[in-house]
Amino acid sequence: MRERAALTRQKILAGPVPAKRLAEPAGWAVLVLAALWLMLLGSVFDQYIGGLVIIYAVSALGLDWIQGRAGQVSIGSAAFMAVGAYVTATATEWHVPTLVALLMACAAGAIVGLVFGLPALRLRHLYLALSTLALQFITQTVALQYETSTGNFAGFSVPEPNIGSLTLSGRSLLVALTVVLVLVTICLRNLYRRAPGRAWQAIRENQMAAAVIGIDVNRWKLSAFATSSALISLSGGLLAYYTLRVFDDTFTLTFALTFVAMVIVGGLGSISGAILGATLITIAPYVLSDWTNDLPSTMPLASWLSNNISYIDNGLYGIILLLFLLYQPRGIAGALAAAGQRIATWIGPRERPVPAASLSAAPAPVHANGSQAPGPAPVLAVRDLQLVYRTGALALSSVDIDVRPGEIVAVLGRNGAGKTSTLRAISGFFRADRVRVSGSVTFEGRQIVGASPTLTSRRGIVLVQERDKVFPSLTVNEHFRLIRSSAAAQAQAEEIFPPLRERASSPAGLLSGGERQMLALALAWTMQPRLLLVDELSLGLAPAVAKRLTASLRDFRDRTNVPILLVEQNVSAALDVADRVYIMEAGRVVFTSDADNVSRDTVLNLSFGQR
Amino acid sequence: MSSGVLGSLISNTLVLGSLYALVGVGFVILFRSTGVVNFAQGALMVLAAYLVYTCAESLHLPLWICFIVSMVAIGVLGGLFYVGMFRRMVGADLFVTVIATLGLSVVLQMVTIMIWGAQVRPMPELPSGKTLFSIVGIPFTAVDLVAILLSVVLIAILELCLRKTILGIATRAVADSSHLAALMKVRVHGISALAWAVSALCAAAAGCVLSLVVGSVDPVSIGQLGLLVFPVVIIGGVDSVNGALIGGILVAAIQNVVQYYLGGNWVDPLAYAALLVMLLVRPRGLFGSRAVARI
Repeated sequence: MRERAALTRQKILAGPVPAKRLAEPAGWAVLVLAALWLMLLGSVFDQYIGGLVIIYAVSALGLDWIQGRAGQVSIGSAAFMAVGAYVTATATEWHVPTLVALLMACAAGAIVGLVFGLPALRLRHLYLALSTLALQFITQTVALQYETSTGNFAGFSVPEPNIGSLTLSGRSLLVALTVVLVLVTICLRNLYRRAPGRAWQAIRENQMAAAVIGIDVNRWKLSAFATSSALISLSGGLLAYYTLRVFDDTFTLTFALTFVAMVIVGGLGSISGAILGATLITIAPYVLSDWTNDLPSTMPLASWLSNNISYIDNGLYGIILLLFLLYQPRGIAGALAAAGQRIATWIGPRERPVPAASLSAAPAPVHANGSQAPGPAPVLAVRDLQLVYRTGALALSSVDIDVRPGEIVAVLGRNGAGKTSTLRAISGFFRADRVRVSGSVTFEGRQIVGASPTLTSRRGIVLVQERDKVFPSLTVNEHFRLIRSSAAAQAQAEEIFPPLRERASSPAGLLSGGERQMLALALAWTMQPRLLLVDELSLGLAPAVAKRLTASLRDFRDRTNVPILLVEQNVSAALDVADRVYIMEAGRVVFTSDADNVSRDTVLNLSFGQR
Repeated sequence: MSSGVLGSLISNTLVLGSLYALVGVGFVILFRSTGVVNFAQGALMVLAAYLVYTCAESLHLPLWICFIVSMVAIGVLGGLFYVGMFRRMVGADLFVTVIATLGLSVVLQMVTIMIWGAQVRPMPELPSGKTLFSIVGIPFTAVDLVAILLSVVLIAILELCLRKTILGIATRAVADSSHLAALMKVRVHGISALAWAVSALCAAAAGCVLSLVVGSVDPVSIGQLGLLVFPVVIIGGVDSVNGALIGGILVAAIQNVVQYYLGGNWVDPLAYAALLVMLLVRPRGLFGSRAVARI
């Protein structure tokens, strides 16, 4: 059975592959067609824009490198491009050949990237983004000072690029830029498929785990910073040669943001996505302006549009960015992959990613001594519950659990058996958790499967989580105020757990593990639940404390007759208190029984495979 | 440096510092309760200043009413941002929300320019623009006084609400864990929308007063001053209200001294250099809690 679950997981993970196989070529086909059209049929202006698209695409690829692959946040694109552009401009004053000047731009970019990568060894996320913002401001001011100190008040002018005696301009320059982009693309594709790509991916997904498996995190981070910055600086050098001018006004924060927009719109972590994103963000204003000019002037909005078109063009990338973030957060690449998926399922063999048939064919759980015997109608009835996390991992498959009035039900199993997932699936997820819950969860006769925690808590389901159970910065007293507890209820809780009175005004973050658990349980009771879910009550607690908490749980049930569903790894603690037990393994229920009729050893054998 | 220059440097530092602190407190409240780092506060400040301008110039309302109208309008707008946009991003990566607020700021700026145009608009002339009184040679005008008082009062009210009221406790609960808060029947979406509104209101108040201090409003400069909120909160600590106060004063001091000796061009880079130094030496800032060091 376990093999089958593993197989299922594999199939789910393998699901997107045919789509990706279709999406990548689709993206490339669009790009190649666009390039061909541009070379053969495009006007001079179109070709000029085409050249800009290529240069920006190179920069976007650099940003995708550091951000999409190595997972290091950066809004420093404009700064690195400025470095490349100014180095190129300075080099041309020394009459250096074009290729050498561009190499110098790359080298300078790598050095600056290395220096600004050093903080990244300590900083992450927001702090890293802010340090790149600092780079942006510092670079802009230094650039301005450089211009004024060298007397180039209107910026530097740059000669046309050449290779040997051949001066590149117009179509030949466009061809040369295309060659650069193709070379960069090939290099990056190879890099990402080999060891470096895997190392960066590991760091992006879990830095600590990457370090544990022997990846030198610092070295790979720095190398990603240096190399991607070199690429972005190359793009700056190309821009200098393309526009024949370098001026500090170009490299603003707004300019940096357009590149962030490009990689987000294109879809992080995709080469063709970055290029498509650069294309869309670059040409959108021109297309919009063209389109506005063609509008008949009789149309009501036409004059307003044409008056404001330059402002709209400036802000257009922000609008596109927001639209993508809201409606297509995985960008163009993600959209193509989804479309590919749809086509694949449409034309390909009909294989659904989750083979439901094979799951339902699995043997039904063992029922020991008639525990499913007719009794009072269950308060909570879980039927055929299935849960798939956003990674594609199948956490639960066809779980059936009943909790009857006044009953304490324990779910046992080893780590990763799906116990916590079961509780969370009952209490609900947020939309942003992006999990798929299916099946049926009936609570007091109402269907609540897929409801949010907000709704389930309002219905009277209270979950005491394993970790996140109290608010660290709120004092004990404030917790009681938060749930609008009466003074009497709080006094009662403090009578059961005296430590809560002693520590009433200390923040919950400073409480011991046992005290936190007491607080969490006391709060749960005070909230007058209609069903109490408790995750790993005894985990990490001294046996005496665990025993006391378990006993208090039973007292609570005896006092209020509120049913309790609890999840445990500690078998004896669970059997002490529970009326019925379920044993889970690999995301499904494999055994149910009345607690009285089952010995500790049986449970251990069944759930933990111990002999 | 003559004592007159020193005096006006000090009063400028106090005025700008308290305004930065106000923006910073708005930042801290939003960050703590929703985890969103708002890059759009500068754009909101500009928008608020323009609203005051229009209320005063076209509708001829008294200035204090203009202020209230503008602050309330921007506060509501902030709440709407949450309802329309960031509600969908609860639980998303920090980076995604950063990008979203950046995009929002671009769009806000665009809309502002479309409505009011790109030219500089003079703010209403104040009869009380002259020095009102001096303390130990430090001159204060009425505007200065309004700036300092408004900031101090707003910050004190907010801090008190956060500490003492149920709403404040709920806000701090959502800041600790929105999931746990939802499990405990806290209205997470309502609290988050409120945090957005309060944060936007702080930015609006600062933007309105700043436009009076500067004497004019244009689509760019006040927004650029708004970007100084990052050095403010990094130096003070991104989750500390008191830190925002100290950070605000420090950044304003850096700004005034740099402006005097080196010129305005060096303000941003040196303020951000201070930010860099702080990030490397003490990432959680002067007053930040230990937890934020890992953001």
